[in-house]
Amino acid sequence: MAHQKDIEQWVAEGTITQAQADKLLADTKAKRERHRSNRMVTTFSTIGAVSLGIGAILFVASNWDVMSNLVKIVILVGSTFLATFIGYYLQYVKKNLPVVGASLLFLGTLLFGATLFLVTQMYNINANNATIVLVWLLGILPLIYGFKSKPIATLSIILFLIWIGLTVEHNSDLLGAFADMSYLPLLYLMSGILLFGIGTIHYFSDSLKGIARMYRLAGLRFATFFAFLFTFDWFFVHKRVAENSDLGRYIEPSTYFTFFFLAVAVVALLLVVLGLFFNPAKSKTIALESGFTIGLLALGLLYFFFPATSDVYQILFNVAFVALIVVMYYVGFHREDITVVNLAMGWTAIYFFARYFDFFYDLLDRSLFFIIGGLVFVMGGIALEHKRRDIKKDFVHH
Amino acid sequence: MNHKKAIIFLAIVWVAIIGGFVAMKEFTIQTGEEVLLKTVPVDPRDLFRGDYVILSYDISRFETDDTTGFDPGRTVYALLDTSEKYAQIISLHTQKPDGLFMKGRLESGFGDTLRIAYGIESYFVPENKGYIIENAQRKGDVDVSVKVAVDSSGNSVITSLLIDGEDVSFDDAEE
Repeated sequence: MAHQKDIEQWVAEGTITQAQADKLLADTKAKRERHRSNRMVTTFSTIGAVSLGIGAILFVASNWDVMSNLVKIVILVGSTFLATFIGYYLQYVKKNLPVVGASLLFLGTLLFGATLFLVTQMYNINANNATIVLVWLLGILPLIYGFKSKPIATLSIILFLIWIGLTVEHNSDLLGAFADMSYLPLLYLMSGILLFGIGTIHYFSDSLKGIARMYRLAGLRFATFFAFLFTFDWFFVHKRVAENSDLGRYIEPSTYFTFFFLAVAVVALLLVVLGLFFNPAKSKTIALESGFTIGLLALGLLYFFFPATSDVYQILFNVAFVALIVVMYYVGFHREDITVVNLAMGWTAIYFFARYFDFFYDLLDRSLFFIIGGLVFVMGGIALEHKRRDIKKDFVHH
Repeated sequence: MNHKKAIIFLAIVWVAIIGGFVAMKEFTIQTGEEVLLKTVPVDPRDLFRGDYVILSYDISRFETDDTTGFDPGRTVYALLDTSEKYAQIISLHTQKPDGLFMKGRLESGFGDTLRIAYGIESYFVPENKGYIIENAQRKGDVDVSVKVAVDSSGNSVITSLLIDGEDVSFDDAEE
């Protein structure tokens, strides 16, 4: 959509006539209104669809004892299929209510998950939620690939990450639980890279590019967040425990966790390598991002298998995090991708804030600490916002 | 894949997952031999699935002098003796034995005591009705047990929970 200022400038430059400018402005206005109205329909139909789903589940839950297993299954499966097929019909067959249809399709995926949980409950299956979450995730994949649905792809990302956490929680034994939970952030860092790799592989197919970007950005955001955590000493369990007691050398993750961690890391590595050699877009930034990702994977593995009680890994992770921000800036500018540049800018601010707090909180007087910090960050914020706008404009003009 | 094919494929996948699961459990219930297991319930709450009790059975523990080959995570088969009121483990195997047995997973081993999970350690109760089991436990001197169907492959499914030999009913129970 063209902006009024741009249109006025085009008229002044003689690029377009006043009549063309009026037409452009009218079209833009109509488009905005349509967009607003679409958003409203999406909001209402999503609320409606979710209410219907909750209603069906509550109906079964409140009549749990009076219903036979067969009746419960018929109601749950029936409402799941009904929501999904009406959604499909409205969005792809009739095509007259695509937004409501998309909401119902999404509702179908939620109801499918609820049905899985309730059916396992009917048969008193152990509360191993990880397996159910994985089956739920696998069950919605046909919707992601068949309909290229972004909300359902988002749900799959959430389920994937929940599955990782629940798998560790469920399989940790009494002795290894502390170590397994302590290494969970590192596993999540690897999982973020795995998600990034999964996204890269999806770029191999033209029709999956939209989904590919979603997975890659989610993986990038997730990996960046967990890489950031490792810039703090609190997340280095061996160092933390060694400072308080001499138990550090006894912190060994369970065999299951070790295998699971290794499997995630190896699959992530394979996908990144595949992306490096077979990505159809032969940009030199691919080599850079793949190289960096492999480096980050190697650092994670090194820390996992050869932990240390010294500061060495904290320093290495700080270096890696700064490098990650630099790589994001480089790739963002090179590909004119404002989302990646925004991400890099956001993490630059957060990282500086964290380190400012680390270094100066004890050195400066409290009032001085907050005044100086506040001034630096307000000015930094203004500068970043200006820079961001310039970059965005620059990207649009090119 | 066009949209029509995708929705048909989706329907097949969902029916296969839900139907397959229900069919497996129903097969065990319909064809399985009924076994009574003595249990001690404890009452956590599941974030995803509401109220349930964790059941720890007499057969969840097995003492043996020879723990060779019984590594945590391994599938094991507990050969059962059902001559008494409650079933007991005769022996534990890493291969399917002859006779009535239950399939489980070795959770851990402390000394000569092995802990086994059979996948029947949860019993779901209607929301806010878990107190019925709690109250029964508090009274002490009550027998809590479960009826379990065990099929020929050793798979097991809980069919009912009993307090002092009576099926627990949650109907019309008031707090």
